[in-house]
Amino acid sequence: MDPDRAAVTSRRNLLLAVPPALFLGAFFVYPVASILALGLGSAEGPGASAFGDAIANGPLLRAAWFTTWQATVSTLLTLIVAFPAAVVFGRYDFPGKAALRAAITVPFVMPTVVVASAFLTLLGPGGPLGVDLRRSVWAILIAHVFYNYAVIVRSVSSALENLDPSLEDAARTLGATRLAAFRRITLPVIMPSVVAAASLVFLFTFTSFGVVLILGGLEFSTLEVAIWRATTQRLDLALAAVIAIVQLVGVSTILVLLSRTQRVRRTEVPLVASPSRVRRPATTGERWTVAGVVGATILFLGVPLAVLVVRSLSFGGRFSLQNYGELATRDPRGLFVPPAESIGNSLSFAIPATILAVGIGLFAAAYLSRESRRLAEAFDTLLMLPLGTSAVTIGFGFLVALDQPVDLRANPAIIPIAHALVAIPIVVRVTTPVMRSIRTRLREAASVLGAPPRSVWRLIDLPIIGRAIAVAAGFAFAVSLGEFGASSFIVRPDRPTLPTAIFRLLGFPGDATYGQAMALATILMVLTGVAVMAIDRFRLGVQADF
Amino acid sequence: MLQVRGATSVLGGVMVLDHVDLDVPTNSVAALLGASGSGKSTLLRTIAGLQPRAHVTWNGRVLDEVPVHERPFGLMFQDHALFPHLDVGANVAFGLRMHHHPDPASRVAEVLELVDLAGFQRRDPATLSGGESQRVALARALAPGPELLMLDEPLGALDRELKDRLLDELGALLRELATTAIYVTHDHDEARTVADSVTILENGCVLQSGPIRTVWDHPASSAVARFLGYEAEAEIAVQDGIWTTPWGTMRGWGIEDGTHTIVIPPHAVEFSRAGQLAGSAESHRYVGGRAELRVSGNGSSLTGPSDGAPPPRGTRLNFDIHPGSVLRF
Repeated sequence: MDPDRAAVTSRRNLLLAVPPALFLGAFFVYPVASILALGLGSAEGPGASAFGDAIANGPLLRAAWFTTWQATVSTLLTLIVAFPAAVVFGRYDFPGKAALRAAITVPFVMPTVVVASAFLTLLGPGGPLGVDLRRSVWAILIAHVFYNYAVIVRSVSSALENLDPSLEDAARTLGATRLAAFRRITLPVIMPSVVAAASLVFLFTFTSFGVVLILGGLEFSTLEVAIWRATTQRLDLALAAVIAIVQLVGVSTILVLLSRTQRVRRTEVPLVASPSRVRRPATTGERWTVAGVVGATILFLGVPLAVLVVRSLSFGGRFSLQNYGELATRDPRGLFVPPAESIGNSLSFAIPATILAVGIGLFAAAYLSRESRRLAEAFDTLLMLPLGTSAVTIGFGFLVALDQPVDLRANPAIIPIAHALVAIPIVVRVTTPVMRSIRTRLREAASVLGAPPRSVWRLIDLPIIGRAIAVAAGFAFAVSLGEFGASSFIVRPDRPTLPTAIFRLLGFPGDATYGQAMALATILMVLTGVAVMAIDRFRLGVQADF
Repeated sequence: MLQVRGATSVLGGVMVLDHVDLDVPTNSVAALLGASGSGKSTLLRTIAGLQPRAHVTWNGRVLDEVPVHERPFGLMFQDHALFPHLDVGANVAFGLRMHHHPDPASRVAEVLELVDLAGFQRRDPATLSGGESQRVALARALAPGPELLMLDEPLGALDRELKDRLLDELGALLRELATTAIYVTHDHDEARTVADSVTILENGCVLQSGPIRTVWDHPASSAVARFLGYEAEAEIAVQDGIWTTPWGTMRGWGIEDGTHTIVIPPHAVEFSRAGQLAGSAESHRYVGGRAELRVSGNGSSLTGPSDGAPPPRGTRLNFDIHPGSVLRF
């Protein structure tokens, strides 16, 4: 291509980046900048020493230390627990594998509030295990492993499946035992995938909010929870801003490292089109191993959610639908409105949030798939920031910033906007690889066959990415339904969403509201499950980075 | 008649095409022959309108300002570029729909039959073999009835056996359709089988252009001769019809007295016991059913057709060079 024509194309591509840049500018960069101003300003202002106080008094240091070590331990635990399943999925074929692969993703997309509710019951005094691990760090760690199991299994097993089998064959012909070939060839080759998946888990647990808030009680506080507490309980916005800044620095560092590991993965893993190493277990030993790992996976991921459903169906010690019936009535000890209203609220926020996230995300993906230079890389990191920055910072930022120039804080529209911000990175991650896979050749072939430029996108790009868009929309919908971090700052008590309603119900004493919380959590779980199953119907052939 | 004048393309500061001219008469097949990176694919893309900067006329109509989708040309891509989201039928019908063909379905059936893939309409492109995919790509390019068909290394990715079979079919098909076509390849055999004329490109410049026979029998330069595989080059001294070569002296004609560099194509060499020249056997190889023997003497080597069993290395062999077939630049 001529340099001048390349420049024109590049300028035209840049136009694609405008809508996402404006959206992120207004609803992400501006609020975050306001947090920075508030937090750093407080270091010199008349209030003087929010920064110093925060460090001296300890909530910041304690939260930072707990956040880091629990994320590290959670990540290591997840790796250890999930690795056998990743190998079984990556190496063996067994009946129901496709269904199980879809099913293990369910916990990952479950709202934090649902998972936390489930573990509250499972590890609570009345739970089937007969232990009380509530307010212990173990509850948090186990919930994190439960949550991120699928991240490790999915990405490591797909790296194993896509591994060029001739590499290991070559090692074997050179005299390596099976174990040696795995350790010296396979493991190093898939290591970038393992590192990338582990960094994702680290990021997710580093920014964990709902799980820690609900399971950790007052004792354990991540930076996220600390921001929320400073805002809603101490009403100390300056302190919250200082903690948010520390959080931002931490997350940005992780994201930079993460994007580096992903670049490595893209260039170094040799891939073949068809997996040929995957096979049925052949020996009795292999069969028992596969069966054991599959069984343990089903138990580990299934039991907590099952316990949640069972608890929601129990009222006064008996089987009953009463918890569900109570949702329709306004309990004076409970919310301002009948809890069932939160279902309609959540759905009515999820639809515009999905449309917004997919719309903005597609522009961003179209830009990223056409550009591969520095600028695009920087843009990619900017797009990923809301995912890592944590929903809590987004919600807090909205609270701090969106009173000027127009006061949007009381406007219900900001809820779908916040949800869209959280969902956009996922939309971009799902659709960009598919868009990239559309070779320029295909567009050229369409042109040579007579397709005018304005039709090429509609005739070639859109149909090819159609399924990816459906998957992205499903994810965005599920994210919006379950979004808790940002919502906990901006959702008004008279118009609760499902997660905020569940959280409030959990906060009231008494068996009745607890049962209602379990019933609402079950409904949220089912709704999310439906969205995810819809995703998996479209998922065939769509490779996402998750 | 296609006329291209001054096709130029610069990529990252490198001249990929340097003012290339090309003429293709109507109803003939022209081969563009060159090593990879010689600019032949770029020339095709320039003609198609995918890349700017060439003066292109088709039957007297100036196409410089005509965008790619309005040019009456078809292009078959090297990697076939089948649309993965459309089945075979829809791939072939794509161009027909773009041109508002009144009855795409029957035209699709017609061209699929032409390429020997009748009934393949519902197949997913991902399930096709290399040869099938190649034929679908050809059918798709042919379907709208382009006035000029361009094929970019259409057999590039296929294995040898399939390539040979498809090559014959393709040659026959192009002749049968009496269509005007440009065939880009780096393979001499393909060019010779399919085309009426050939244009040899190197580093974005035309080395030679003309009918197949002329180019092969009379390469215009030593660069062309080398490109065509005539690698035997030797210094000879001529006096009174006697040629002194590195392999001895012989009676020759057609070259005036003096010292000359000549190129000896394999077909100019004949091994025989009574040969006037001699060298020692170096290597023996089979090339597509024929055997070639390489001999050397005094630091120069040449290759000629062999009919016997491979002689032991170093065996002294006699041969003649046919003076009329020797090339001199």
